[in-house]
Amino acid sequence: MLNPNILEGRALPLGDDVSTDILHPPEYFGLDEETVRRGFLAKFDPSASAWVQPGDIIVAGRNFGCGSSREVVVRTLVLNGITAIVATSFARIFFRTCMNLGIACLSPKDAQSVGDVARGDRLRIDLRDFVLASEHGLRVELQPLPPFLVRLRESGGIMGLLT
Amino acid sequence: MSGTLSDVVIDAHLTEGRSGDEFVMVKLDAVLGHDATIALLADRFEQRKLTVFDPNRVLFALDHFSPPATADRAAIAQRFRRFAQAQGVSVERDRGICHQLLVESSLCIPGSLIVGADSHTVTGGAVSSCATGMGSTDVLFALATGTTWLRRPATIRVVLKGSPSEHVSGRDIAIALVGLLGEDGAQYRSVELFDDTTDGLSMDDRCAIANLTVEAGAKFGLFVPDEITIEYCLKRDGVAPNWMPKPGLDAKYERTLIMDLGDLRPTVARPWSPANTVPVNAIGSVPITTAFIGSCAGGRESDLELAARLLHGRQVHDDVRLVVIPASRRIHEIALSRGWIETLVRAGAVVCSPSCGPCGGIDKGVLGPTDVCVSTSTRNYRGRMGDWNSQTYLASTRTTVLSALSGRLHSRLHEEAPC
Repeated sequence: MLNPNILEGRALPLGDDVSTDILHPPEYFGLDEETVRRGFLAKFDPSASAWVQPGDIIVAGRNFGCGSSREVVVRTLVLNGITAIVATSFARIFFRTCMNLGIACLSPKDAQSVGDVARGDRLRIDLRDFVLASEHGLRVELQPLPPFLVRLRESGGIMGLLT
Repeated sequence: MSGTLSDVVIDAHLTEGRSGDEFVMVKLDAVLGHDATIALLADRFEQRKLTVFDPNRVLFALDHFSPPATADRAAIAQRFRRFAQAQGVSVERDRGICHQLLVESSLCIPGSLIVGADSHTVTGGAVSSCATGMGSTDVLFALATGTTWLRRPATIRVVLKGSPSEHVSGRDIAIALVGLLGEDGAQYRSVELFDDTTDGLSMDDRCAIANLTVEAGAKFGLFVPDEITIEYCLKRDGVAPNWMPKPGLDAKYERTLIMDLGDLRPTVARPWSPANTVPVNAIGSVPITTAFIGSCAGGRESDLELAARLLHGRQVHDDVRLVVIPASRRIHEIALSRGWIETLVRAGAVVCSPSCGPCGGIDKGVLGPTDVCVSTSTRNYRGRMGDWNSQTYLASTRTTVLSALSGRLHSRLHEEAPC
């Protein structure tokens, strides 16, 4: 199921300036997929990697993913089945890596916070009209991805540009 | 030439797209990689039967797991070396941190466009390179094609003026700048630094400043090249740079920050953010357990020289472990020949071989739950250097050494310094 236009899952709210060290502590770095998967928020919230389910969507504030470029930080999201992140803003290396590994990174149109979302709220993102909706009636217009980034995502990330 | 310095450099490297486009494809002058991040892409690269675009334009360093502290890391390092060998790329093994090796390399010249598999690749901006970090998959593509896509960044201009007051170094300027910008104040931006200081900033100072721009979210952090750049390249390469790019007269900057270095005081970043800055003279009193001189932000010749000068004939405080790691073999050898390593060892410092060490919680002094560290390393995010409850204050070499001597990071550290 590569790049579906509707993403549905439970919300995992996180705050501002969530660094790569919070998302995936350095000691979980490695080539072993189970170790990488388990490292998800391992110190910040040790219950997270057991709670998270495929399809879950992270909702966050400013500067999401700031810090290191190490790709295991995004790999853990992929292994835990996270398909999208909606945040006020993203750190650039993290954003690029998410695009390359198939995780949609989106921001609210008015560049403010997404709004009131509780852990576990059911969310739905429509990538055709760029709208985020929740089961509790929240409706947020998202900034559309620029055409270049839509093409990049549909190609399967930068590897899709390899001829 | 038109636009800001990064516009000028990007325009000179376009393969697809035009001067006004937001998203462009660019040709790269060099690609940087190291053991931890290249091993993550090796299997995919080989499965697709790809070849490196130009082995002479690739700098690979074995610096994170140098030497490896666990069997897993030894395996990762071996994977990296096998990959490099199969592709005909030489590996700088245990010769220093990749970013220091980059600024020591003739690949890093003004106007060059370089990507690296590590966020602190921006350090190349000290020598006026548009150098930036990316994840392993992006670097996999860069190694195979010698190109990448870029979103053209807006530019923040930073003018450094005046004369640094006593005890203020490049690292203090860097920390203060991140404090001014905030963690995302330069997000996606090129930070264009103009050295308008009275005596000119040394290349070591420029490295410290360029390196830290990524902690404010920058894509590039580069100095406008000048006589100091020319002198550095002449000494390093035997020839002057072949291009001295300058911003066009029509350059439009998103904003301009002017920093008068005479107003600056030694500054630290408190746990747990590189932007959580405060002048040392307002820090209060913080007992410390560890101190670290090293990393791509702080293990340079001038750092070791200063550390040796401050520690000569003195002893590190009983309660403190001071770890010192030169950023490269070249620096290590200079420090040896000048007697600095002997001075540091005799003062009680733990001196290690050129590598990243405790900066990313790797080895050579990882922090435990009650550790409080003063460090010249790059980041102090929670959990980065070790235990989730450890605390790191980012500081200049001078602040770090004085704290290691007194056992505390405190407000009168510089006034009460022994020299």
